[in-house]
Amino acid sequence: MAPLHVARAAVAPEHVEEEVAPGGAAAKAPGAGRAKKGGGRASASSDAAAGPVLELPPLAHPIEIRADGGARVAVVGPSVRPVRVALAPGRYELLGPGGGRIVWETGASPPALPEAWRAPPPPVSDEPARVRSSDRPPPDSPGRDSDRAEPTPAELASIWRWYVFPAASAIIPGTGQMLNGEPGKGAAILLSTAGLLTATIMLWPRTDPREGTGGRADDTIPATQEVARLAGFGVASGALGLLYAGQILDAHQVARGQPVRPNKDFVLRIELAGLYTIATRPGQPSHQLLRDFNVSFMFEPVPRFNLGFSDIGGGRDRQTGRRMSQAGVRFGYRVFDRRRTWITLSVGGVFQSAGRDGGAGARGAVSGFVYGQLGLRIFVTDAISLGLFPRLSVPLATRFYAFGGSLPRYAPTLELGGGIGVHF
Amino acid sequence: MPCVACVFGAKVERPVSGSFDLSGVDTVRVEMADSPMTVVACSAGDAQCPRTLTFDGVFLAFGGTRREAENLTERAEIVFDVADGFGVLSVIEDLDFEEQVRLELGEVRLPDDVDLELDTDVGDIDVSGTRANVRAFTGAGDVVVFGADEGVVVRTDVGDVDVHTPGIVDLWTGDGRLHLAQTGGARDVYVAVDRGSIAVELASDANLDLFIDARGDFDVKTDRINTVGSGSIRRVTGNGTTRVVLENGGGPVVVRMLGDLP
Repeated sequence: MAPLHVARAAVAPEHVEEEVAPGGAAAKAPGAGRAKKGGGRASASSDAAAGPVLELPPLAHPIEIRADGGARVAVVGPSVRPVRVALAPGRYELLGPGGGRIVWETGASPPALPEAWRAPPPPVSDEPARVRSSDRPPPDSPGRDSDRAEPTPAELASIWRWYVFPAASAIIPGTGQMLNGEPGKGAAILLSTAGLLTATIMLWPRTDPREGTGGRADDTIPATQEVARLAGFGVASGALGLLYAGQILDAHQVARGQPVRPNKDFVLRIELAGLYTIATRPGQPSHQLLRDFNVSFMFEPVPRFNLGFSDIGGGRDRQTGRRMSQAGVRFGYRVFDRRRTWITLSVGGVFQSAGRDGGAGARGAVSGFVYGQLGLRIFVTDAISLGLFPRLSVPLATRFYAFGGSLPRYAPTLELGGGIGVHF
Repeated sequence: MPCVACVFGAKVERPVSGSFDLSGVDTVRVEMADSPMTVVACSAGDAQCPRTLTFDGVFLAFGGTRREAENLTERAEIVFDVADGFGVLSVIEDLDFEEQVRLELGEVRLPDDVDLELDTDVGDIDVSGTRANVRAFTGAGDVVVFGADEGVVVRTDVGDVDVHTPGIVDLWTGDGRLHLAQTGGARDVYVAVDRGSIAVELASDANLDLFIDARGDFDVKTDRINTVGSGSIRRVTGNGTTRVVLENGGGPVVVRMLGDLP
């Protein structure tokens, strides 16, 4: 997050002019393409008064200003005084709370902001306006950190909400959204969580102990019923986990009052994932649910290309005493990234080793499988995303699952995975 | 359901049969992971009853392709290891395919003077014709024994038990119905059920030391004992040398003379 930057009024107290851009971070002309890191340039001083100036009333929420190409230029507000921002000629978007969007072009009259964006008239106070930029201010610019004012009670109350509301959502899903003034969304989350939890409990895999005692034809639970139950459990439990995590993070993000701005220049993503598939068994029961939980460390040395160590995991099957460990590598390319949504195509390979202490026959084995994966990622905060990963894999030898079950060699497998990723 | 999370492959079945020499073997143990077991004994010494153990069954396998699955059925090996008169029939499976292959035993045939130990995780056990001792253990499955003159021991976590024997018995099921019929003379009986019912047909109630401990009702009608109730009772007839202990953690206990049970 960019450091808070406070500027002092340079002219009459009722107007504030702010230095918001670092020296040397020249913006490209609007519409000419992606701006350099740090966004475009918006600068203002009494000397640059000849350029276009965007005048805004006192603001109740942070307002993001983006150039025509989508590059972030500045973030202004909240403020108790009118705000003036000098901009290069061109067309700009003002993004406010609740996804609101206003287009403004230099030379036009000041934009008419919705009431919800405006702050009430200030009391008699000398409180300076606040401006946040995506970059640190230059050393000689006004409003360095050393000149920063103490946070106001309103700011402290705002920061308090960032942590209490998600904590409320962690205890009772949806309450954070209700506290954020989104009762409909909160109610929908609460009902959905209750429904998914109920479905998970009711569909929990249970076998009939008497099934198969008479042989393979002794099928007390039809195969279609088995598959439906296993599939329903997998979907319900996975969706429950993603919904629970997502609503906690959403409560935090909405409490901050900022739009989600995924950082496309991340260096490292740490990802926790769970993948499910349903496999056939010889004998009864005829199907089983296979689950793989793992962690991945993905780097992005070049924009859009990512590679790293993936599918790291292991465990012990309590029933057979078999131990398993695995690790792999993955390469991917991000084919789509717009606003909160990213889509990545990846390929990878995983190496496994397994062993058991007792039993007849060979007690150890090494294995591996290769796969192709589609990653659909939705950002709930700037740095945290939830993902859905359909995957097609082919074992090159018997593939073991940490908590029981295995797949035969050369058996093409469709898996459905979900997970949470933290971007650094 | 449309396949969004599934595995593509092939299932195959391959019949299998074989025999092993039982010379010098007085006890046979059959050890299978998940398989029903049917054991039929023939009269030892009979010309048509060779001193061998013969079996048949089916290998079941799931592989990535049909050829792969067939290869798996050929990799599994049925062995009979003998040491000091104790022979063990089992399947050797390596770690990398043990979960993709399963042997389902059909029938095992052997002379009736060979003691039997039958052990499976899931599977019904059916024994008939033997005069020797039988020990049957299954994690889930029904157990039926006819014969076993030298005695019967049965353990099943889930399943019914039905034993017709002249021998001493020690029977337990975790959840199921248990029926015992003494087809010879009076012999000691130890029967326990965690949840289910007990029905016992005694060969004789002379010299009987009967102890019943039931959470449910008990109903005893023999030549010398006639009582109903619930909880625990103890009745002794004659010199009480034949001990019969019946314990039921959740269900009724019924005792009759042989043939009197409807």
